[in-house]
Amino acid sequence: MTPNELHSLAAPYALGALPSDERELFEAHLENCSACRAEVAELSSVVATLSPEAPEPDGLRDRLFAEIRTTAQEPSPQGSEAESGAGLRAVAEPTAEPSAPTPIHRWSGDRLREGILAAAAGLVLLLAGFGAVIVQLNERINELEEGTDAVQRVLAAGDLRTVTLEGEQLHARLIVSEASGEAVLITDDLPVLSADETYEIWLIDASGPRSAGIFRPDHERAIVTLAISDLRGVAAVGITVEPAGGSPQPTTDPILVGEV
Amino acid sequence: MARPQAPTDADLISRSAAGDESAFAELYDRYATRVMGLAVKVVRDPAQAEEVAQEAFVEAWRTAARFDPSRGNVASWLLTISHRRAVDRVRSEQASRDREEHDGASNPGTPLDPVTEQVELGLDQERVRAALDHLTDLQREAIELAYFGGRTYREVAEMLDTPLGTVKSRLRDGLLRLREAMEVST
Repeated sequence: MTPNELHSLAAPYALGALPSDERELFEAHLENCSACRAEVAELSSVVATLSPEAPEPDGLRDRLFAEIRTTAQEPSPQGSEAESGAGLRAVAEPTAEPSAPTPIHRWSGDRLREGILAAAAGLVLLLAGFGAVIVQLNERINELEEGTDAVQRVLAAGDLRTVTLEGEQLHARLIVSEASGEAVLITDDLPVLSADETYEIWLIDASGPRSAGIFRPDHERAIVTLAISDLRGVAAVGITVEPAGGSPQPTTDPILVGEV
Repeated sequence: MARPQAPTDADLISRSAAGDESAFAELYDRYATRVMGLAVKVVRDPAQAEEVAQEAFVEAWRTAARFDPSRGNVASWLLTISHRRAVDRVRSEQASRDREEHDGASNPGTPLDPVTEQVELGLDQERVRAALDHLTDLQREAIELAYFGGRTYREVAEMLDTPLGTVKSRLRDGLLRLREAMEVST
């Protein structure tokens, strides 16, 4: 598509009227074209006035916040990156930040191996029997109202992979449905954090840890919904405690680790 | 550090991105009726519109960190998410209806009739209608087919048997005319 043709996509984009391939193309173009960014910003605010108001249905607020309580978020950008407004970050884009704190070396080499070996040693035989996982899920569903929709979706979608996470007197289980691109994390005894901290979950592959979301459940026994689409190339999964909003790279030792 | 009396939408979004549920609750209270209104207008069926509204807010919570003020304001960002969810829902409903028709099953569900629509959307629908009256018939048609109809500009062009460039111009000129009308009326 020629540059002129690309510019002409601003109005359809603001109206949500681009087919997905053109939308991706145009979003990439926006990273480099301040004129189009300005036009999109202006047109989007006009489009926003086209939404009439309709009464909020009863119960929506409660249902929404029950779901949010157990839904992980994408981590926040840190410091200078946030202020410079560094463009729309695609989910797939690594949050590489030149001025970020040096990644903790503990994550590489020996410490990581130690963490994985400890997890392997503590691996519960439940992994071998998938039925046992389902039993545990059903028990948890009976205890908690929240997170049940996500669990049903994950179980129904199938193509499941389970990772058992162990730590010092801590246990959790991650169930990823590669078919649906969703995962649920079932925690047994994860302490509730204060407002200025969050848990962050990391997928560790050959190039190191990358964040798969932040979450702050309000129970020690919880089900958290995560957007993890697959575990290809992932060697291990870890959970750390980070400042609220998360960190681009782990800044503390993992409290839970599991081998994939 | 002093807090402003009423936090800006941008403040609320960045606090939400850090896990602050009460900030997100405030944002929800500000925009729930707009998100719902857009969902009903696109999806038509009230039960599905409610699901779409919930999905939109969950996505907003999940991706709050991605909000970029240089791309537009919080209202546009939130309504863009809602619109996409609504369109996805309409398209997947259409796809399953098509499959059912193909299988010979009956066709469930009808679009909202105009009377019900008026009741559901209330008087605020009048505000939107009045705004759209500023446009030429062709501009209004293009915007309605694209935005409320959940169609791509290519589908609109095909439907109207009109060149792509013409459709894009009508969409753009229509939005610019709406912007002028907004400025005059405020």
